[in-house]
Amino acid sequence: MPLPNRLIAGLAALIAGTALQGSAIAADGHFTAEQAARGQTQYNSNCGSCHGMQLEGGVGPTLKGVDFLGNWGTAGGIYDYFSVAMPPTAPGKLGEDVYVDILAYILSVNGLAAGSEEMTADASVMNAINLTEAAAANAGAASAQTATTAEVQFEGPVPQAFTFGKSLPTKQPDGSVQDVVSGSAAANP
Amino acid sequence: MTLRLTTLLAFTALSAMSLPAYAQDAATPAAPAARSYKPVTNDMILNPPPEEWISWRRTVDNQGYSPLDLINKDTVKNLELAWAWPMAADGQQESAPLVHDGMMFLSTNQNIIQALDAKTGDLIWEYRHVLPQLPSSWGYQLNQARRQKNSIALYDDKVIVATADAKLVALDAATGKVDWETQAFDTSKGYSYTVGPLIVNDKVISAISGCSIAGTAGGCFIAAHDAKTGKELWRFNTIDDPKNPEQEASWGDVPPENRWGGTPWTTGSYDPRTNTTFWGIGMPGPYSQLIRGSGEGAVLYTNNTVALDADTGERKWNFSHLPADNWDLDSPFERILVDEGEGDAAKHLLVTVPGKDGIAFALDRDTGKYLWSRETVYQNVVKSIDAEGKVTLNSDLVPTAVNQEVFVCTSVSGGKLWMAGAYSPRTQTYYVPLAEACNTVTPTVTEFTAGNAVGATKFGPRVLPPNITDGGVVEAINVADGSQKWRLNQRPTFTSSLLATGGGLVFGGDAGRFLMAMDEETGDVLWKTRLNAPIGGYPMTYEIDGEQYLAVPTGFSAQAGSSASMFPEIPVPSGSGNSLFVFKLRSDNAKTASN
Repeated sequence: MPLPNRLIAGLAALIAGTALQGSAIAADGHFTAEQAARGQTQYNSNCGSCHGMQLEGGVGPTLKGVDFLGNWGTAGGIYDYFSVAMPPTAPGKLGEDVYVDILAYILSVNGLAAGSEEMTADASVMNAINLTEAAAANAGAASAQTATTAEVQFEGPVPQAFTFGKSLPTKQPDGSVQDVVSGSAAANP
Repeated sequence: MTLRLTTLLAFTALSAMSLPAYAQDAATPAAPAARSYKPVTNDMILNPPPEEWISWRRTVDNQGYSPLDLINKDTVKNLELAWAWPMAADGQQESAPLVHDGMMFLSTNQNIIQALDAKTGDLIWEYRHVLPQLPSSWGYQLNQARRQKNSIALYDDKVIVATADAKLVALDAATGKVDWETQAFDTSKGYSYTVGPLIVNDKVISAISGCSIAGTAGGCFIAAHDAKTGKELWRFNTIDDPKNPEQEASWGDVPPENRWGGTPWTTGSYDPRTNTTFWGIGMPGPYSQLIRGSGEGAVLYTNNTVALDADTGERKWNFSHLPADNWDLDSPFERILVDEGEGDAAKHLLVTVPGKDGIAFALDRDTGKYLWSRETVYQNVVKSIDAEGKVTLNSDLVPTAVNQEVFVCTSVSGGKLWMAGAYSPRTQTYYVPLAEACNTVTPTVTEFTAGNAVGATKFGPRVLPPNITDGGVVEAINVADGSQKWRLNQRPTFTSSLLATGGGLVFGGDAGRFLMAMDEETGDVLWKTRLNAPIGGYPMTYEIDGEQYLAVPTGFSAQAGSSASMFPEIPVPSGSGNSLFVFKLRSDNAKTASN
């Protein structure tokens, strides 16, 4: 039985991880269920053939899980990329509403909860949707799943970056740079 | 009714007689092999028959050149389809077909290997490797089976396969049955083969991938195994070399258990004159030195060329093409061995565009001494390279804070990428597919998880550099001094490796689905045809019964997808369509039957 990563990865991660287990996170509530449903239709039509109908990946990479969420940092990070570059058949051509709806669907599949207000292409809102937090919640779910269903399992604690759990200069939304403990919820504001 | 039944029975009987053998991990009775097979010897690997293509780049100097000349500047206009074949699995199209003794060996994604009659396109056997089930949360590692399955190797009467679950498997070349199999590395940590092996003197020399996956911390390897048994003979760790204090110091305070990367993403080359094998090494992980914790250290042997003794794996020399990478600009690509002049005056070169930044280098391959370098596509990360080959970076582009975005050229998709260039001894020219591209790079912090990567970096979309409208480039580089012989620019990016031939042609293809034949002297496109999907993998050529064939893989291209916004007027298809197209000249161009 692998040790949960949080227990050995430093105090900051411990706090973040424990707080997230099974409870609401700040990234929740930024899109509506109807919007995600619209996004699902658009996703299935425009994205699913490469990225999989369950976002599991195909010829294109998976669009769910900790690696995906951690790679982009915020919802705005995903939007800035895919609203320009995807789909290869018509890059940047789907229209703002469609991209936003698809993003809502992707976030919903990744475990973020719907709320009462639709998401828009407002960068300040999207950039505030912290996917590192969501990734930590996903990691908990993933390790539980690993123990029960898969043939291959990783034994022991997952190695972390040398700087993980240490203080790193971190750029804040206002442009200032502050020292923040790596891996804490504040590290990807 | 009776008639229909009879017809059905007759059809079934016929099918049973001509059914190819299916070899599987599970014991399935296979039909007896009908054909003989001429073993591939060590000498043949070093000096292959002109009409065959028996190693990844045909010869182990990695030149990607065939002396065949029936298809040439005059006759290329008469190419027509001989046969075509759908590949057995979707995924990044990086197949490198091999041909020996009339058989084509085709490696596709998910480690499916097929043997085809190279003249007719009939299937002879198929091997489907059974990969273990991985947790769905291991996104990066799951993707390894769908990418970069570029080559296999022929040795004796065997086909050597390096698998996505880090095994080496030797198949009987005539039947596809497993001869031996060894678990070379621990796939539960993330190890996975994505490139094929090099065969040298009864040894399988291979490089493991997956070294950007969290569980593989501390080790990334080039290794040699006995080609007759699969027993390991030596291994060389690209990120932890206690025999070299300079290597250890180059990671600063970072201990081996927090080091990643250093993946040798491309099959190495071999020089029998010195019994040396040459490998390119990829980027460090995490990508940013801020997150890595390595300060300004060069993090050896990432982004290096390493020269190893083929018998022992001992390092002879190493050369750093991009020290202290901060942008995932790996430098693992093809190392080509070229001799200039003859006798005592001969120069023994290693030429390469090693990294995504597109800078071309030549080294003395006996000493590792720097000879020349030259920029090809626009890049802003390397400020200068001095007379000794010491690389100075643009310090403005080294992020000093988490979430600090920098605009970097080339992009994470290159510049240069896995698509290999080809060298022609006719022109002493190295032909290289390249791309003009930039992206934003932003370091992030994440908790690493099993089966996932440790880049800790966010990349923006791939965009053209300022004031450049043509993203696709082929450069022809004189290897004597690195000067440009010619350059072809076009909107769509090139998505296949190149092939140079004795017919004076350079073949390659693009994201816009065009296969083209370029004049080796001028870059003029003498012939082109449009296929079903982006041109991919490794176009190659062979000759059977006096006819020269040109084999061209097509299919899904991550490079086409990631660059599509740079040429929106040419949409990339949504179907992947992984296929092989084989051309030959119309019969009036063939050699006479007596030849």
